[in-house]
Parts: sequence; structure tokens; C-alpha cells
Amino acid sequence: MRRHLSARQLSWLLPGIALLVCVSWLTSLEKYLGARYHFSLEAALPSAVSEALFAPSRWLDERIREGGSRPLFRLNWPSSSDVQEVQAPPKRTPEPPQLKDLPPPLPPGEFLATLAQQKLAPGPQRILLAGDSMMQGIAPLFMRDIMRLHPDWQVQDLSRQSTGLTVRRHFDWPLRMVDEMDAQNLTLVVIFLGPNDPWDMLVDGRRHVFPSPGWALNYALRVDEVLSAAVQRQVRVIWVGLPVMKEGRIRDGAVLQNHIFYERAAQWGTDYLATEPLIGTLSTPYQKFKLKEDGQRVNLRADDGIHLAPSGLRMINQALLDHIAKALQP
Amino acid sequence: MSFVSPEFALLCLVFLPIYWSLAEHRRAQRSLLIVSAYGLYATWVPVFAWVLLAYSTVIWALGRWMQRAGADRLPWVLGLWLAGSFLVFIKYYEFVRETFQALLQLTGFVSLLPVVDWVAPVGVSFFTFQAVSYLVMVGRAPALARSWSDVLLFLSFWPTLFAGPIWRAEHFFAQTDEQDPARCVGRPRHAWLALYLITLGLVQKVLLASWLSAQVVDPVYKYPDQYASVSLAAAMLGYSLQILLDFAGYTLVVTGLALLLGYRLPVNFRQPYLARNLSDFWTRWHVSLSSFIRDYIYIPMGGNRLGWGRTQLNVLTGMLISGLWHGANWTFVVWGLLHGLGVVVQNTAKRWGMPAWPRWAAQILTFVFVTVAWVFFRADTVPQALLMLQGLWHSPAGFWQSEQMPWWGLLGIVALVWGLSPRALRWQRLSVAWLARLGPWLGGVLLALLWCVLLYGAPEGVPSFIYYRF
Repeated sequence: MRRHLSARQLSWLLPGIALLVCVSWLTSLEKYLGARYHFSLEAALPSAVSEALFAPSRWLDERIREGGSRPLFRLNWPSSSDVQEVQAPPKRTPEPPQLKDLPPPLPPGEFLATLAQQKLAPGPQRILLAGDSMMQGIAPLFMRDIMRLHPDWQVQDLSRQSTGLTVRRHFDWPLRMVDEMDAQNLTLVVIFLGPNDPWDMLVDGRRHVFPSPGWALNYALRVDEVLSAAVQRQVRVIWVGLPVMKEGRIRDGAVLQNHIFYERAAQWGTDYLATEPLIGTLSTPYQKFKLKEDGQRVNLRADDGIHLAPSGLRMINQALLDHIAKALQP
Repeated sequence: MSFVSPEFALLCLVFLPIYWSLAEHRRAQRSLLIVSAYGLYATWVPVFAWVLLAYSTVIWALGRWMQRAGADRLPWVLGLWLAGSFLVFIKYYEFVRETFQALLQLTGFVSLLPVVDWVAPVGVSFFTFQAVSYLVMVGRAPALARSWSDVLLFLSFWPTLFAGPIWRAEHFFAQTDEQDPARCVGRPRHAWLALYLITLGLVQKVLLASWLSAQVVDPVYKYPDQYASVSLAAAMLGYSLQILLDFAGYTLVVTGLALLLGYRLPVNFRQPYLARNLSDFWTRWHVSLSSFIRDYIYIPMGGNRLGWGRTQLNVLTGMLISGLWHGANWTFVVWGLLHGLGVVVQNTAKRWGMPAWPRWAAQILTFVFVTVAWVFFRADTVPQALLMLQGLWHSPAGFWQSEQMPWWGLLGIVALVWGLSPRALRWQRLSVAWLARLGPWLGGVLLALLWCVLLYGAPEGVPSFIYYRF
């Protein structure tokens, strides 16, 4: 028997292997395509074809990945009896998001300022940190500092890379946060996310192109899912706004997202923490370095123009700590 | 584009048959290889491809100049200076500026070094060292200067472009110049071995290293003060395994890919955690880098020819450069110095006639030292590394308190690595022979099954490689 594989044999063997792997892995591939390219193979194909094509991977998912669609990780806090579980309705009914024109750009140098509308109840807090890689940068600093300041508080970091509010199939943040609020008696949720979101949204089979009024409306509805659930459960929310971004789509996204975060927080009486005055405003050109008061230039941003360098992370962390300290004051 | 992404797999399926079909047309085949490399490189940041093209052109021109200049050393010195300063400037300028600024701040002065906003191209440390090896080769034998396209191919050869192994110019061109049809590049070479290496590399990287990273290492390094001493030790052990499986796994994948293109890559790993001392470790870990530093830095500095004391200084310098090569951070400086000091202590003990340790004890001691040094390599800052180490005997979370540390998984991987390492080559030979005996149909189905299992066990998304950032 011939032991060596020729180029000709490899030319059919490799596609053959790839085909077998793809067919049995198609549900995961679909998730990957959705998360990365905001594209759905299943939606793009005629339903009969997609049903047949996806059948083997779904069959495998059901049998091998038993419960694979469940959350991959779950916070495990002891339940506490000292936290009030008041299911009080919000004091006023906020106006639901409206389909309207996209907000006009702000004049150079202006930004949406911090909203501090809530007070934290006295006593130990149970804080959840939610978000994408933006929060992943802040979370270790925040946890270290807050635990030093308040050793009796509990903080859990649920931040997860490459997530957002746009693609629910990839990771359903509203559902996840509501789930955690119910399960863990949270008193405060801090949310910092956004750069993965400026892509088209698929809602009930309809595509909402980014940026468009339809996109803004549906994005605001997802923000509302979190805020309404939090307000109903008397969980405070600090939504951390996005700083200036370098690239076009992500920068445009940040402008629109900050408007939505700010507007919805204002409606629901929750907090919005502006990072623009610290890192750079979206109404001015992107700058990686900032001139400090002592005349030194400090690098605030990572090379990708999205994430933050340690100095930038420390600034936002300090602003968050200050914000919470003020919310504790009677 | 990562080598473990679906996009790359799809491109390979299209690219490889076209590449093989051009085996009889060498010039066209190499042009395709160059174009594909630049295309792949541009998927990271398009401007990087232009930087690489300009850099390669300058290196080629310097080689030509050396060829014409003959005995004149000016182009050689200028070439090495340019290649080296390109790396230093593009990778370390901000580090130097910030350090200088911090030092001056203590004295009340303001640094005048301007701020420069740029990003180092991916793989810059690797292709710079390859450029140095080319210039040294031409400097030693000017007649060996190559054509522009050869230099482009050498510096952009895509399996090694992003994270090595680091080619030596003479080894690379020996393969491209091979005339024997059985050994020449351009056709798949040892295809079953290539598929085996790719599969094993994916298991190591996508399955094991990613699992260690997510479950054992990252949570602890993120919040070290919340973990008990035992968990900190587990995370350190986990990182030792993670970085081996990550980088060795990557090397296996690219070695397999290179074999499919008909090239044999230099060896990069020889079961490093079986090393009996630090010198032995450095002949097994990232061999293409350590041998480069030995041949191009340590030996030209005098090596061990200038007396015992000077030898130790050369060792320390070589290790410091090795540390700095990995990145502009004090953590890498400390990591390199620790290894350098370790080798000096080992040399001193040998000089004083200290008897050799039993093999198992020497292996354990070496591994423990390497693991402690990895703490600095992994940590974001030196204080974070010190916090990890301090936590080993005094952690705010206690000593034994058991968090959700997946001990069975960790110990399973420990058993797997140390159980299989001593006979890895034998396993490789047996597995490849078995695959070949199964033939393309059964072998293909088996590989497809293995890859399915691998993908089902892997985390979501495309995992990143540790060495991509160097």
C-alpha cells in the first residue's frame, strides 16, 4: 500500500475532512459567523435547506453538548437574608424609546455629562460587573480597590470578551443580568460595553442596519430590558459611557451608544458615568496621549484605539470609585 | 488572521491545491507564496504589509551593497545597525520614554522626548532576527546575496511570519535551492506527519492551553489576593503548562503547515520540562531564539573564551536581551535576569565541584525555578508578580481554602505532559505510521472525528497565541 499522500490526494482529502467537520460543527460555526461578521447562514438559506444542513450538528448538540445552550458559567454567591427583596414598581413610568432621527453630533469639546440620580442603600453591597473587554480591563482594578475600601462588600466580575447587546445568540446580556439580579440579590450593577455592537441587528427576522433609527430604537429597547428589570428590583445601575474611539464604525457607534445609554438612564432614573472628559471626547479627534497637569504626556489607550492602557484604566476606575462613594453619602 | 480560525482553514483549502499545482513552475509558486503571505499579513493591519515590504526591500538592498562592496564592512555594520535599531525604536521607544519620564519626574525635570503614536507590526521581533541572520550570512560570504524576491519570501514566509520559529537564512535558502525532486520544496512533504502535527498542535493549543488559561490561570492572575496560597501555586503550575502547550502547540501547527508547503522548519522545542538544569532548559525551550542569541550575541561577545567572570557577564547579557526581546516591560527584564542569574549560580556551583543531583531531583528543581520565573513573564507588572509570589506563603485568602480550582483537570494535564513527554517522538512515529497504514479514507475520517471532538471541547471564539504579541 502507498504510504505517502500526494498533492492530488490531499486536494480531496482536506476538503473532505473540512466538510465532515463543518457539517457536525455547523451550529457553532453559525454562532461564530454571527458574533464576528453579524451574518446568519441559517437566515440566508432557504428554510428547508438550512434545516437539512443544520440537522446533524443539532443532533450532536442535543446528545453531546447536553445543556450546551445554558450559561457556561454562573455566579455562586451565598444567598443573603440581610438584603431587602422589595419588588417595588418604579416611581414613575419612563417614556419608552421612540423611532426618531439619529441624534445630531455634539459641538466640538462637548459631551454627555455624568448622571448621578441614585443613592446606594447603607450597608454592604452586592455588585455585579458586566460588560465586554472594556469592563475586563477595569474589573481587576475596581475589585481590588473596592475590597480594600469595603471588605464586607461582595463584587463579582461577569465581564466577557467580544460580547455586547447586538447579537443575542452569541451572548444574551439582558437575560443574563436579569437572571443574576434575581438569583443573587444584587444591589448594584456596573455596565461597561459597546465596541462590539455597531453592527446590523437582526430582530424577529428583520435586519436593522447600523446606523439607522431602527437600529437605535432596538438597541435602546435592549438597554431598557436591563434598566427596567433593575429598577423593578431596586437594583442600582451605573452605565459607564464609552470614551473616544479611533476607528470610524466603532467611533460612530460610541457616539450613538452614549446617546442611548444617557437617554435611557435619564428616563429610568439610573446613573450614567461619562468617561469622555477623562479619556477624550467623541466630539474631538482621537488622541492616544493626554497632557497631565504636571506637563507630562501619559498614554491612555491601547494600540488598537479601542481599549485602554493602564493609565486610562486607572482614571476610569477612580471615577467609578468616586461615583460610588458619592452615591453612598446620605 | 489567526492560524486557528475558520477563515484561515477555508483559505488553506483554496490555496494549497493551487500552490501544489504550480510545483513545476517554481517562480510562479514562490510568487504565490509571497503574495499570500502579504495578503495574510495585511489582514492584521493593512499598513503592516507595506512596512514589511519596505523593510525587506531595504534588507535586500543592503545585501546587494555588501555583495558589491566586497571586503568593505560599512554596509554590513550599517545593515546590522539599521535592522537592530528598527526593532529597538519601534518596539521599545515608548518604554524608554515612559521610564525616562518617570525618572526625570523624581528630579523635578520634564522629559523632552516626544510622544510617538505607532503600533509595532505583528511578528516584528521574528522577522528582524531573520533579517539579521540574512545580513550576517551575506556579510560572511557576499556571494550569497539573494534576489529581491528571495529576500521577500524569506522574510515573509507565512508559517513563521507571526511567531517563528526563527529561520536562519542559510537553512532556508538551502531548502529553496534544493534541486533533488525528492527533497525540493513546493510539494507536500511527509503529509501524514504534517496532518498529525497540525492535529496535535490544535489539541495542545485550542483544547488544553485554552482550558488552562480560562479555568486555572487567568482568574487567579486577575485577582491574586482573592485566592489561597495553594490556588496561587496551582495557577503558577498551570501557566507553566499553558505557555508550553500554547507555544509548542503553535509550533507544531506551523511545522505541519510548512511541511504541506514542502518546507522543514527548524526545531523549536525538545521537551523542555524534562531539562536537568537551566542550560539544558535553554537547549530545549524556544530553541530557534536561544540558539540565535547564542550564535549572534553570546559568542560574538566572547562566549566562554575570555575567562570565567566574563563568561558569566556574557550569560547575563544574553539572557537579559532574551528577556527584553519578548517585550518592552520590566517583567521581561526581571524574567531574563532571573534566568541569567540562575545559570550563573549553576555555573558557580559546578565550578565549586558541587556533585550532580539525581536526575529526578534536578528535573524538579529546574522546573520549579522555571515556573517561578514564568510568574514575571505572565504578570502585567512586577508588583503583580511579587503579589503572586508573596501570596504563596501569606495570602489574604488563607492557605488551604479551596476555591473552584479544577484540580482534576489540572493534574490530568500534568500527568499527560510528563507521562507523554519522554516518549513523544516514539508516539509520533507510531501514530504517523498508523495513520499511513489506515490510508486516506479511514485516516481522513479519523482525523475528521478528532477535529470534531477537538472543536466540541474547545472554548468559543478564536483563541489568541501568547507569542503573537512578541
